[in-house]
This record gives sequence, C-alpha cells and structure tokens, in this order.
Amino acid sequence: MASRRLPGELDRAEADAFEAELSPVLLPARRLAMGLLLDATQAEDAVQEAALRAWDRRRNRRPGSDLAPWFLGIVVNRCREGRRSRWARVLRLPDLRVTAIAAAPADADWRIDVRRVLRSLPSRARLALVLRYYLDLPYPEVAAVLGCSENAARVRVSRATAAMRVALGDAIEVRP
Amino acid sequence: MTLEPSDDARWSSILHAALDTPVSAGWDLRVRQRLRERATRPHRAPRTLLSVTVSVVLVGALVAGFAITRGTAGTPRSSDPVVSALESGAGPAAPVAGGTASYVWLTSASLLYPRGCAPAGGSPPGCQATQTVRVDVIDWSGALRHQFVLPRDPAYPSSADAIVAVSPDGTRALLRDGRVIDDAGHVVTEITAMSPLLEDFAAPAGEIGDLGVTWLSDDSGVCVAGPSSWIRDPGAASKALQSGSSGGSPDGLTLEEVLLRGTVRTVASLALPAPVATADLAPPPTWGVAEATAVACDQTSDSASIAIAWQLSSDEASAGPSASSTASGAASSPTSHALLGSVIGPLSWALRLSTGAVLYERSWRGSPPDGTAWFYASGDGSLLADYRPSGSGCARLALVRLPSGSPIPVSGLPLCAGVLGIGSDSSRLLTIGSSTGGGTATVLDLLDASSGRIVRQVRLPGYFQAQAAAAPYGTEFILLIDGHLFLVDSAGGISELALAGVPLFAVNRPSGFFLVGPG
Repeated sequence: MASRRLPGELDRAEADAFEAELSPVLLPARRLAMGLLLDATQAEDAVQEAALRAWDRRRNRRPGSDLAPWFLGIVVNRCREGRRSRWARVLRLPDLRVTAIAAAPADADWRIDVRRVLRSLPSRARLALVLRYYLDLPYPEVAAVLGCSENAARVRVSRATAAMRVALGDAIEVRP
Repeated sequence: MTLEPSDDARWSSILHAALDTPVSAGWDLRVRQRLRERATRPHRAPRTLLSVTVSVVLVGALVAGFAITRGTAGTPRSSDPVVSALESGAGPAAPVAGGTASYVWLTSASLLYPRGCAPAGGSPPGCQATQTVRVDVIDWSGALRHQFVLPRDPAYPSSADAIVAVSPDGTRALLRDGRVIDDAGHVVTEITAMSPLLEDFAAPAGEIGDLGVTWLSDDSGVCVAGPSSWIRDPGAASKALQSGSSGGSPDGLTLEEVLLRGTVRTVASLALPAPVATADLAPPPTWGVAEATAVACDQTSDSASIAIAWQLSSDEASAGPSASSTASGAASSPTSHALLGSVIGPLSWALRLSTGAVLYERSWRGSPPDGTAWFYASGDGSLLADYRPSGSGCARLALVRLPSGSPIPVSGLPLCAGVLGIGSDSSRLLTIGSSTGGGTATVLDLLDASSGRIVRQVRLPGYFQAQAAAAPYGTEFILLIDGHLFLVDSAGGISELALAGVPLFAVNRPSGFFLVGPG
C-alpha cells in the first residue's frame, strides 16, 4: 500500500523546493523594492510580504516558467501597495540606513539628488530604469517583468534615462 | 534615442551608487523563516475577492493615469498630473503675509561609509558608518534660506531623528542632546534641564515609549509631555531598557514647561485609569508602552493640548475617561473603566497652560480598527483632531472644538481620511484619503474647521502619501506630495513652489510632530 503524506508534510516539501528556487531572487527583489520605495526598511518588508504572497499564490504561476520575473512582478505590486499605506505617513520612522559609499559629504548630496530625481519619475519609468540598470537585467527579462515587448522595454528605459539626464543636469557629471 | 554601451555602464554605476544600502543582518533568513511558518500553518480561505479588488484598483489607477496624461480630464497647465490636478480648478495661492520671516525645515539623512566598504553586500567588520542629517530651510515664499548639516552629537552618532522639535516659526529647533539651533544651524543655547530626559527620548522607538515635545508659541521654550515616572526620574526609561523590561508602567502623564533660560515648571500631572480585572481578563493587565505627545502649547490663548496612547501588556485593554488633574502634580484616582478589545488606549486633554486646570478630557470608548492612535491640534490649541473607530475598517476622523469639547460635524470626506495639518488659527484643516469610485484616487480636502465644510477637494489619480506644515500665524499650508512642494491658501488656491537643488523628501511640521520621510 502506498504511503500517504499529510497536507502539512506536502506543504513542507513544496516549501523546501519553493524556498530553494526563491532564495537566489531575494537580493535582486530587495534591490528592486529599494529602487521603487527608496527606503531600505520598507524594501525589506515589502520583499518579505511579497515572498509570503508568492507562496500563497504559487498555483497561479505558469508551470515550468521562470520564478524570477513572476516574483519580481509580485514585488512591484507589493511596493505599490506599500506606497499608499495610510498610516505610513504618520508612523514613518527615519531610515537609518540611507547609504553613501564614499565619505565625502558632496557624494551624499549627489546621492540625495539622484534619489530625488528618481522619486520624481513616473512609477513605470522608474521601474524600467531600476530593472535595467539597478538589477542589471537584460532587456528580455525587463520586458517580462514589465509585461511588454522587448522594444517597448527599450523605449521605456530610454525615455527614463532621458528624463534623468535632464533632471540631473550637471550633477550627472559628478560621478564617473 | 539609442543607448550606447558606455551609457549602460554609466547608468548602472549611477543607480548602484545612489541606491545601494546594506542588507539587514539575517534578513534573508527571516524571510525564509516566515515562509516556512506560512507553509506549515493551516490553510486559510482563498482571497479571491481581495485579489479581484486589488486588480480592479490597479487597472483603475492605470486607466485614470492614462486619461489624465492624454488630457481628457480638465485642462492641465503642467504635464505632471499631480501638479496639473492641484493647480487646476482654483486660482494660485495668495502669498503668506510675513512669509519671508518664518521657515519650514526639510531634512534628509545619509550614512557615510569609508571607502572600501561595500554596503550592498552587508558591511564588513570595521566598516563604521557615519550619519549626517542635511537640513534645507525654506521660507513661506518658497525661497531657500539656509542649507546646513546638523552638528554631530557623539552620544547619538546613528540618530537620524536628531531634531526633536522645530519652533512654530521655524527659527529654532531643539536637538536630542538639548542644544538649540537657529535656522542657519548655529547653536544658540542649550537646555541642560532637558538632556537627561532626551537621553531617554533617544531610546529605540516602540521599546519603552516616547515623550512628546513641542515648542511654546512664542519660541521661549518647549512643552514636554511624558509618563510621570520618567519626568520625575529621567533615567527610568533607560534603566527599564537596560534591565530588559518591556517598558515603564506609566503612573500618569505629566506636562512640563521648560524655558530656554533653564527654568522648569510642572504644568499638570494627570492620572491614568488603572487597568482592571474582569471575568475575561485576569490577572489585570498593566500599562506597557506609552506614547505621549504635547500637540500645542500656546501662551496667547493660555492653552495646552496633550495626549497619550498606551499599549497594555495583555492582549486586552482597558481605558477610562476619568483622569483628573491638579496644578501641583498630585493626581486623583480614576473612577470608571471601559474594556476595549484593543491594545491601544488613547486619552487626550485640553489644559489651561498657566494653571494646569483640565478644560477638556476624552478617551476612546472602542478600539481603533487599524493603525494606532494619533492626535493633532491647532497651534492655538482650540481645535483637536483624532481618529475614532467607525466599524467600517477605517478609523473615522473626528474634530472637536476646545475647550468646550463640542464636536464639529464633517461629511464628504473619503474613506480613511487622515489629517495632514491643522491651520495654526484653527480655521482650516488639510486631510488626505483615498477613493476607488471612478478609478483609484488620492483625495485631498481643505476643510473649513468652523463648519466642517469642504472648501476645496482635489482628486489625484493613483495613491500618494503627503506631508504638510501649517503656517505659524495663519491659515496656509505647505504641502509635500509626489516630489512636489505646494503652497495652499485658505480659499483653496494652490501654487507649486519650485525649489532647485532641494531634496523634497520630508517636511518637519513646526508644530512639534517630527516627520522624516524616507531617504
């Protein structure tokens, strides 16, 4: 007689496989969330929630498809929800981990300016830019997350960089 | 436009340099742990309805955004839908009288790592970051007046919220170490009497609670509200933290007036209702984390507004409306209690600043459905706004005229509307909420606080967060939303304030409620 696994055991085995598949995507997902939320704490919370949501909705994923673009899409949606949290405005605590790599205050100001410009971009443009240049994804994968053609993804990225170039002005020349 | 390979490398470098941050220690382990917990817990009912709702909301936002950018909604004067929505439909904002003599502070924080450290992958041992807080001070005409970096305090090298409170006119700020700086960043004095208290204030938020600090209306000093035990023994909170205690058990709420010249006066000490045992709740809970706030201290109207929210050590909570006060600090016993199904129990009082006499007091009779409690009051202390349970999944905004306690009826606000700011003269209120009718939208309302009437309502496609500061002596607001800064006048006129080179991340409300945005 074949042994039967209880539902809990089934979930655990499935969770092991899911976790193994998800683990390499966590850091890129955090970078994506950071690029969209511009806040490290919120980004980590968003990815954690997205991971749980991905588990709950794992049946929705097309069998055999790559997990990364599917999960990154969930992260994008979670970040959108996080930005409209009603209480975040009131309860927001300062992010202590806004980072500058170099020790010069000028660099910190430059970084602030870049983030300001990023924040001012339309969300879809910022998403395209972050996917391409912060997650360093090739265009086919950018297109997969954006849900558009590769050419459309290139256009979105191009427009976003053009907007950044205008907004940053001379500041773009500060860093190599 | 096509991108050259060199452009690819350049943009990648720019984004990595601007966005790389250290990953919290053990974060990925925590994510995987949560995942395992989720996988092994009993299945819950599917969330199909919620998923559909969210999908509809997102599609609605996209459609609304598309319609706006295609010019089908009104005649926008700007290509930015937020700017055009705010500036259309009403005239430009009238200039603020005396606006060049009072200021709003915008802050942003940075961590500076030594060269060679790689924050993106977690800081290696020995990589000690240094925090700086940059302040951009603008006046009410929108002109940038000063830019400076906050003086560092070796005692709190990692504190981003170094500014405790900004004075109503923005010419002074109290720092966490007791120093007072002016709008140019120069230290003008030090309130030594505040230092021990503020050391406690620097404890991690949510662990032992908080103090409320706001400036007196004439900039002569500050009002401090906090659990009485901490005010009496400034080291109590730190000791509680060091001993591993979850926090003090506040025996009351004390309001002190601390002047810049160093004198300290206890305005009032108010008793908190004692937790009670019930059939459902034994043994009786004890007060846990307390979060106090002094929301207004005005000498002209001789009024102060303070509030406290607390969390019980039990899963249940109790609260009563019957605290009383004496000017000398003695507190009387509470007389009644009401069991709440919540861990939050807020109380608020209006006091006479000169004597400490209680003019008005109120507590919640139910539990907030989400979030936590918070209170807002006008600079002159005559208008109080807070949230009350509504049973609809969102707290309901309630306005009360002080000291009479008479409610001001408000209608027409969207679901979950929250306060962005209250005009210093109590005549206007700026709120934010959301609406899903006809596409998801953020709804900003300017209210006439005397009648509850909506003076102007603006719908913005999509969801936005916002912050606002109230002009110190008038009815106007500065509004920060979606990376834009606007001046809002009492008639609903709105004009964008164009600031070059200022990071529009956060506004410190000069009423003493310290808001620091991300980044």
